[in-house]
Amino acid sequence: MTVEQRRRAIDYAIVIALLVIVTVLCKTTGKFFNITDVAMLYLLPIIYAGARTNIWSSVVTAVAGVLLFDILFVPPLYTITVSDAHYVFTFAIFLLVGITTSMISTRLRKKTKETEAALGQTRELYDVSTELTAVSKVSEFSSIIVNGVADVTGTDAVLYQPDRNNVFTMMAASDPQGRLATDRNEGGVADWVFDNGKEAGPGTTTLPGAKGLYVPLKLEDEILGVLGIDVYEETGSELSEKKDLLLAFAGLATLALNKLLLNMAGQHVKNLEASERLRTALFDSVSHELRTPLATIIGAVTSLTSSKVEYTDDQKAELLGTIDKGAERMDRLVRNLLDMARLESDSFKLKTEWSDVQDVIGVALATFEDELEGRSMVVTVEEELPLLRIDCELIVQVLVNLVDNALKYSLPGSEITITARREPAGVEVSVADRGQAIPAEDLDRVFGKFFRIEAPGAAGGSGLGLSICKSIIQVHGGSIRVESRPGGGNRFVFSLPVKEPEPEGVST
Amino acid sequence: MTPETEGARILVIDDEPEIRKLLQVALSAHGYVVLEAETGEKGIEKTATGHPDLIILDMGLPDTDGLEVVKAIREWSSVPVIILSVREQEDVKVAALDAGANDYVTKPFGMDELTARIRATIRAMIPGEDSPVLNIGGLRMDLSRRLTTVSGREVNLTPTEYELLKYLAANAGKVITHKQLLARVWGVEFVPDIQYLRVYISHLRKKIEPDPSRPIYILTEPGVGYRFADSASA
Repeated sequence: MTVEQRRRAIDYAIVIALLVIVTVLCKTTGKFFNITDVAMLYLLPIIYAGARTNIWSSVVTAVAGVLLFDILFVPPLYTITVSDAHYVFTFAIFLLVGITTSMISTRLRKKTKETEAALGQTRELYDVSTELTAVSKVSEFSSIIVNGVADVTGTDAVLYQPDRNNVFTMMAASDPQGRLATDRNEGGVADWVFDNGKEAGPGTTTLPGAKGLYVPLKLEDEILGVLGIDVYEETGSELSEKKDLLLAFAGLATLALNKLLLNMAGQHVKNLEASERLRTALFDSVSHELRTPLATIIGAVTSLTSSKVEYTDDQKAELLGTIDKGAERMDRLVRNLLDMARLESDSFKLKTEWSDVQDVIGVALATFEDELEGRSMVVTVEEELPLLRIDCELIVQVLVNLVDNALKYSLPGSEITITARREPAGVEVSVADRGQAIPAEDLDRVFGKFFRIEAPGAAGGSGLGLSICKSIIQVHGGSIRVESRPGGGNRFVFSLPVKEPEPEGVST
Repeated sequence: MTPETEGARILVIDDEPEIRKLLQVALSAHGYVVLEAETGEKGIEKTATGHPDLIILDMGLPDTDGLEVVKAIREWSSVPVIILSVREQEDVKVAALDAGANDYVTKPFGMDELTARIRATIRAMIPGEDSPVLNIGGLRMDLSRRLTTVSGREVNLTPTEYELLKYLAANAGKVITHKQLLARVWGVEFVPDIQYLRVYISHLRKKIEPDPSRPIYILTEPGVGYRFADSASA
């Protein structure tokens, strides 16, 4: 038994109870109530029936009241016959009261129901619009809209929009297996709505034979999409009610979609600006970094090839040395640029192999050759460090960049320390110098792209090295930081995770 | 190596150690004494203490830009300054020339070009006899008679053209910025735009150049100004 049925049964019981109570009360109290009072009292169950039940029950109640009143109280008693024609009028009043009350209350109840339904729909619309404000992707938007429409109208909904390539397609369906989503003719109706900017389907003048009702999401002259619901074989007030709901949703969807598209366009512009700024910074940095070694190379070469001056052997060696250094510096820059491009490309993949940290440090230091001359380079590698599963070439590049930095930012002859040791988090490698300490506020920023410390005597640089170090360490699942050393200088520390267990075959 | 510039002291102000090293080696081999400074501040200091005969100044210094260094030096010294710049620093370069720098060389540079500029700049600083006649290549300007001849053929110049040519020829070998030319020939108060200057240069070239589209006397320094070819190259 449903709630509704139980409620109705209780109402019937109350009506019957009222009839019984009134009858018994008036019969037992004798002459306490005169006949007019009795008639009035019989109106009670009739009004109750009218207010709480349907029109037929109230008519039945009215007839029952009339019969009881007539048989038990109107003389001659215990017969249906009425001595006074006046009572016929009373019976008519009974019926009239029953019917009128019933009609008024039915209308009120209907009104209440409608209001409640409207309130529910408003709440639903509100919920959907709240949900939409948090949306940042068109696909999320589409599914929220179709599910919202489907919930409120109780039928399937579909949403068509132009896709990324501007092809008009179905973006979402509340039931992908439903009539609207699968019937190809329905897609044709949506196409028509999109092209013409007018509604179509049952209840409209266009294609009323379609299964779905479609309305355009129209913003001024632009059609952003088409929203449709399944109204197969529906007619009359139900159809028009659903159409109203559909239109309400279409309005909401249009505004939300417009806002979303504007946001996305704004974001796109912002992205473009950011990439433009990055491009400019890259260009400036690279042009300076390339031209400086190029200037030393060209300067030295033109000196050597000039016939105007005789150079001694020592001078020739020095000039050739500057060419060598310039070329190496360019090589390092090109390597960093290529690494950056690789790391940022979508198809980037780490070429990992089991590597020995000591070996990696050795390879990195070998690239510096005579630049380390006159430098005290202290390398401490802890015994029995586990092998690391890393992209060896990239980690060498990290060390090269860190050592290059240490050389550039510290005085000739000052000590550089490289240590590698086991830490709970993994293997930690640090490169420490005795150069000028990086200001505290810059400790995080040094890893940003194109960041360069502006300090008197600071060497030039592309500002790429450290940002590439960070990217490389991050793709390895490690971390990198810089700290000031007690007694002056900076220590760059990176740690790489140790992957257990170690392999049986060392190389892969 | 010419006798007049032998032993000249050159101060190199550049933050790149490799460039300083290169210039140290190459210019020493040319017989110059080379001083070095890696920042603008140290450069200014060494200008005062080292008594250089010429300064080679990089525009992109870590502590201050080259323009500020030129301005600071020009407050108390007329030592010639040759600017080393990269192509993107065009504006700074012109500003430095206007502020009193004598010439510029763009990085990367050929060593012969740099040493030629150094010689020309130092030579220009040596006061010659006040000759009323300018003789550069085939061009001869007799300033006392206001007579100009090219390869012995007399050329008729308007007063403005004459002033323009006289100023350029008197500074042969040195780059003169648009602004300097305009201020010198038309006066400081009236500075017409560069277009105006181009028209006069074009007229001048038609009158003195054997082939105006491939000038040998008045050379264009793109974005900066003009240079009258010195006798060596003309």
